Amino acid sequence: MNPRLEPTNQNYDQRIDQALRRLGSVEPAAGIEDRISARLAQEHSKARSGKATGTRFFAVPHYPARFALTAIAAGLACFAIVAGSVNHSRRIQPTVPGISLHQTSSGMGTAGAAHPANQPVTPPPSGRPRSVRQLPEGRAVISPETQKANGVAVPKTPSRAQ
Amino acid sequence: MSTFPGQLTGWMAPALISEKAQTSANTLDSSETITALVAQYSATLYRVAYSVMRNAAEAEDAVQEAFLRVLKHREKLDEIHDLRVWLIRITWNVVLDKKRREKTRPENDDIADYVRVLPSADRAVDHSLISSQEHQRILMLIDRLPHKEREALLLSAVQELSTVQIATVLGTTESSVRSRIFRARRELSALLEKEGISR
Repeated sequence: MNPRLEPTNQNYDQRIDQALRRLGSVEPAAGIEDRISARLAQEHSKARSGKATGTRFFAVPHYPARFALTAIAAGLACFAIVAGSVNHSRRIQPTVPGISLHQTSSGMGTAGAAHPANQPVTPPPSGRPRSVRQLPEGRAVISPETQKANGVAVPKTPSRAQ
Repeated sequence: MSTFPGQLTGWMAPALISEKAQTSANTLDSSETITALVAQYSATLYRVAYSVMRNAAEAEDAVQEAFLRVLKHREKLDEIHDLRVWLIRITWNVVLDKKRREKTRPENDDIADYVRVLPSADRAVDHSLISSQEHQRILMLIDRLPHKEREALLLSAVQELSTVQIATVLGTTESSVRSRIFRARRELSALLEKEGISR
């Protein structure tokens, strides 16, 4: 056995003991209880207010009241859908093929915006038959005053007396 | 003079107005119990937290967090057999969690802070034996020990704790705690010798 080993070990043990004693004998700063109580009170009130705002809104105790609230919400939703639909269909302008209606301007457009002119309605060309008479039996008859191109054979119109 | 008892006794009272009588009685009981626990054990819990955190502010924060957990589970207070060990165990878990989260951060041993919180009489005695630097060096070597040995050794530093209570906190047997502390001290001596810290 090494005689020098034991005193050295004892020395280390003493140092370890002293270090541990110092570590285990610390005292908290004065008023730690006050600070802990303040924190607990703060957290408790926070939890309470969180519960109040978070759950009370949905906490309707009776089923009739819940049913009434649900019905009111559903009615409001239906009303909003119908009103939106009507409003939307009123905004749609009727479109007729071949006729483009003048687009109303709000006057807020920029100067560079396109402003298409209204398309004029062209009159029918002169000399064309404006009407076609029909016999009682359903045959179409071209009037005798109709101007026809040369060389085109036109069947003779039967007289009315027949 | 501290206003602590007056402050704490009524801190749960406003919650009771709309509650049923039984519930309010229970809440009042738990409020009073927590008040008593804070008064009785906050210093011990602080020492437990400080042994790991080595920083006054962080140790106090850990104690506050531990009591917040107690508040959260206050309905279990009646079922707890040994409130002291239960509180130490909660604090121990809190500080280990904190330490794990702070592992990426550098070690922040607050020597000035430590000197401030150490009782003056003890400081005078210990100063004659080991210097603050030496003390810090030993604490650093303790941190290099395997975690099981380190935990047992650090808890053994808290003088109020018996080996049985340390075993309960660590969830092991008393004999296991004894052998862990023995191994820790032996290993620490070897490290001290290796580091050349001698008188």
